Amino acid sequence: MVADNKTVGASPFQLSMRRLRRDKLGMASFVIVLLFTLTAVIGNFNVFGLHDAANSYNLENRYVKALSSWSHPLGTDNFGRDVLARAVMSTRISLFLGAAAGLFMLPIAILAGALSGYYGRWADSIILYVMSVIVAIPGLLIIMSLVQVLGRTFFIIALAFAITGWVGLARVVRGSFIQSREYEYVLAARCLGAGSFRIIFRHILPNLSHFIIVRFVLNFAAIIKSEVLLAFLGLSVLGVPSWGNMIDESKQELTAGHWQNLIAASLFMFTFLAALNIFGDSLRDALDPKLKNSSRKAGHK
Amino acid sequence: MKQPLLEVKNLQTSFRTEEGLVRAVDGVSFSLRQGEVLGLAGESGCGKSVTAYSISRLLPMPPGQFDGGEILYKGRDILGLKEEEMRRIRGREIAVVFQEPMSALNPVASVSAQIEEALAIHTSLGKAERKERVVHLLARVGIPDPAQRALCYPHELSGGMRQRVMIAMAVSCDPSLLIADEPTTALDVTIQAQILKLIQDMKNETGSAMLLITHDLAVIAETADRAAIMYAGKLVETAAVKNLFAEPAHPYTRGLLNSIPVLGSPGRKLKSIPGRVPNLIDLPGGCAFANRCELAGSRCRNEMPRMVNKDEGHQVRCHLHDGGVK
Repeated sequence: MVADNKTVGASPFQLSMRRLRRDKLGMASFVIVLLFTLTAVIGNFNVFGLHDAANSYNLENRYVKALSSWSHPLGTDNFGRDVLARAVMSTRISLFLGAAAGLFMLPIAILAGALSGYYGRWADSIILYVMSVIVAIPGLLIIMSLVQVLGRTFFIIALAFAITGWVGLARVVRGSFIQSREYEYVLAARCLGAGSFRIIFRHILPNLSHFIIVRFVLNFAAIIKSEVLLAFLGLSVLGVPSWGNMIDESKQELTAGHWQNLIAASLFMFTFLAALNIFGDSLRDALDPKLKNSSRKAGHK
Repeated sequence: MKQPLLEVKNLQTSFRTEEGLVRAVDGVSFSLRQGEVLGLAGESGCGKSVTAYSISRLLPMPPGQFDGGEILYKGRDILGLKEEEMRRIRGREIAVVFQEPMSALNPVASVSAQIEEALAIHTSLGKAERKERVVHLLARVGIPDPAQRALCYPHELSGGMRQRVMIAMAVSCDPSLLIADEPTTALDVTIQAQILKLIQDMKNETGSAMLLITHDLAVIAETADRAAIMYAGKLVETAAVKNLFAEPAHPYTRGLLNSIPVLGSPGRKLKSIPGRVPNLIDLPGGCAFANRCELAGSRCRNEMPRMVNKDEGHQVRCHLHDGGVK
């Protein structure tokens, strides 16, 4: 008898999404992440004149105090640009860079991890060697040199983050493949005559999707932080407002009592990163409920 | 006489380990005719599963390796086939039913997707036809409401149901040889009989031969035509099931039979076989069973017994039937 249609034929992923929807904090942070995403998309167009407000110089109107006028709620900066507009517009570079770098590294990491974990032997040795070399050099150094040599464009920076960032995910994927290739359902699939390609992509990889999704979200947050650092060092995409730029500028302004840049940038960055991390945790709990229970039990002891 | 479907000749499979070479299967020979059921029995670690996985060539190599012998399937030596050729045989010609239906199904794929897979690999059926066949197969293995159940995921099914799904997967391409590796061990006693019956029905419907691996002699008595008893990597006795149970010739076989409770004889003490299975890395020089055998003599400890014909179709590897133990 099939009584309850809602639970019959629900894939583990669908069950996870159902759990996620019940997680209030997770959903709240998801809404915040969505709002930021919307902001980033809007940032591509001059909605509400935000783009102009963030980028047009008005030297008559420098350092307007925060909370003093409706036209500039958070005041203006050194060049008379609206600080709130700049903080909002900065979302765009952070978010798109995080997404692009993540999408660049995903195929590299999955392929490298899958090949080395599944095949082992010389494939594993070569890939492990490459990974060790990349890890041995400080990531920021690689990024900075790539950006210096190849140019401060969006594409190059995203690529630089991908080149340094794929190793972590690839290691996790590799470990999971080493574990999974011994599972009986993999043996069963081979018994049916499935080839390696089919086993890697149809059998093992779907079982790791929860890992990969969670890593992608947390990685996203890490890239945003790195971008801020890069912009603070003056090496991020040219001519685009970024939280890192704003914090960099505030370095000199703070001593003169102009704190609006620092506060606005930090506030936006903090909100976004906190929401992203909380959402990432909720996602992990929803996708891997066993993990959550075991950590809770450990916490109560 | 017709050529046997499967002929295993002097198969030797071993594993390289840090302690040394483990001869898991050491000179096993048997044959299997079309439609026949051979029960392969023995304790854990006697090499029965390794024999089965050697036939389907699913052993990880290394550490596993073939040291000798042949496995002739329809006259072709399987051990010499390339991996691609072997892949065309697996699933279509030789199918395996696993012991653990819990772990042998992919947790994130629906039942229908998993049964469909063999069809997608080995046949040219379109998607709609495959779906239709999946529902048909599920109905054949006795799953109620098959169209609905096909959409289920493994976690939504009971152990018995999952084993039925595994069987549906195995028979999806009408294989000529079915290898069942302890198909009922992980199941409830109440389900075991049903699943055994189902496996037999499937075997009869498809006319395939079956190699049934189990440590449960009752399962063999119930299902098999012939039985082969394995000990420490070697066959010690093969016979028609009737003969084996009526006149077990090898002391080990007798020991196994004595350790089964008999219904209706309360108060009868169950006998166990003393001692343990010897370490496969350094086997004693003579009969591997000698140190556990009540009847063993000096010859048993020094000379490896040969496989001798006791009766027609009844072979045994014991000095008792080959000139005495002294």
